[in-house]
Amino acid sequence: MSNSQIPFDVVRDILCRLPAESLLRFRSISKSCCSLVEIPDFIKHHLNQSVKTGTNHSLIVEYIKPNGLIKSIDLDSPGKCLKLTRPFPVSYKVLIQSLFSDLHLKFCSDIFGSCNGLLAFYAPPGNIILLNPSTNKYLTLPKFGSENDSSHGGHNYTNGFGYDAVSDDYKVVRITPRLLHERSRRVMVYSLRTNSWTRVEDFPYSPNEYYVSSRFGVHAGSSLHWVVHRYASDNILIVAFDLRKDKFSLIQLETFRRFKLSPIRAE
Amino acid sequence: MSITTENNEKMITLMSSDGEEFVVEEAVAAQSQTIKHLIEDGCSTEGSIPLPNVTGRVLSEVIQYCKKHSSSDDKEEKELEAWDAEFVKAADDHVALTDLMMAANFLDIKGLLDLVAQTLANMITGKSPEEVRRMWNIKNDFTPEEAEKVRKENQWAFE
Repeated sequence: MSNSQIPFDVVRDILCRLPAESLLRFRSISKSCCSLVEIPDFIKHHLNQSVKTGTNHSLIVEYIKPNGLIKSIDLDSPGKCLKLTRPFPVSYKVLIQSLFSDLHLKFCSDIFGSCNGLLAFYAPPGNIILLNPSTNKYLTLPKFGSENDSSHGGHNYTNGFGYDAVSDDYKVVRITPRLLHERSRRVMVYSLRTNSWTRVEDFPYSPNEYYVSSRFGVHAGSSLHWVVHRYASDNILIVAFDLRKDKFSLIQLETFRRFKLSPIRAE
Repeated sequence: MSITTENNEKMITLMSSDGEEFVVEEAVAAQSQTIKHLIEDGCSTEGSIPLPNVTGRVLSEVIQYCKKHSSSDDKEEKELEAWDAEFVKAADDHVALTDLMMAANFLDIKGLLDLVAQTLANMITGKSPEEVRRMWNIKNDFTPEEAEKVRKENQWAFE
């Protein structure tokens, strides 16, 4: 057997095991290599391969000063650090204003979710974008209905970003702030597959009884999770939103009084 | 025709593209899904299974791998990993590894395919597109303008 003509499916099997950076560099090899990285099946294959081998992990670090610089540290080779370009440039002043607008939250980022290598951002004024830091490609989500979002990047919303393996769909969940003329908080779900928002059941926990103390949903399994505080019993609970069924449920945690929900590795 | 050994193991004969014959236990050969299906379909009754895509040199390496992996159980995972590492190291260069990869692909031996593909991937990770083209005789079918466009699209990643 000579290597004079290597079948392309063999090349593909090798390429799907490469770090994202090499993969992008190798787009220059030939036209078929170039188009390969845009084929959804290949992208999924590459993702599964990364999950299986525990590779292609990055740590996203956001600097407030001087202008919200974001760096991606390659955990496979920690010396490597990539400067990410914010699709929407943001000034330090705007960032600080939006981050500190809600004082009891002390500090929060404008990245409100990450999943399978994609980041979900607020982008002033009132936009949400999904960014793939490996390719630097991004998508601005359509706005929904009568959204009148005057706050910087929608910091009054409770948000979450996750993936549902069954429908193979990425979803952004936004729970609207409690509006004066409305009794409950509306819930909008964006589906990347349809590139549209759908209104689902309202947030079932009345703002009079519950206070959502975490702003960014933590993605685990196929659900997003937020910490809620129940006034009456002074209890801390977790609200889960099932991305498959678009349904909320409450997880009781009687023994815990105070805790913070941190992202954990979602399998 | 099939022969059996003293241990009552069923043996089959594999024939490489250059006419070399290998007599192996059926359980060893059946690690290749391709061969397994050929046996199931009764293609081995005529004496030997011809493998027109695999040379004797490569086939002997493949059989070596299959023998090792059919005789080891899960407890020896660490030892098997060390053996795998030595095995790909012995294959020496990308030409031998590519031949092995193509054989694993044709014979459909998942473990071997994973092992060799990962080894080749590690080998090319830091290389330039031109080096990879030369390794595998891949034709650069971009016009200079197209090449420049693709390079520009990726430029941010190399800053």
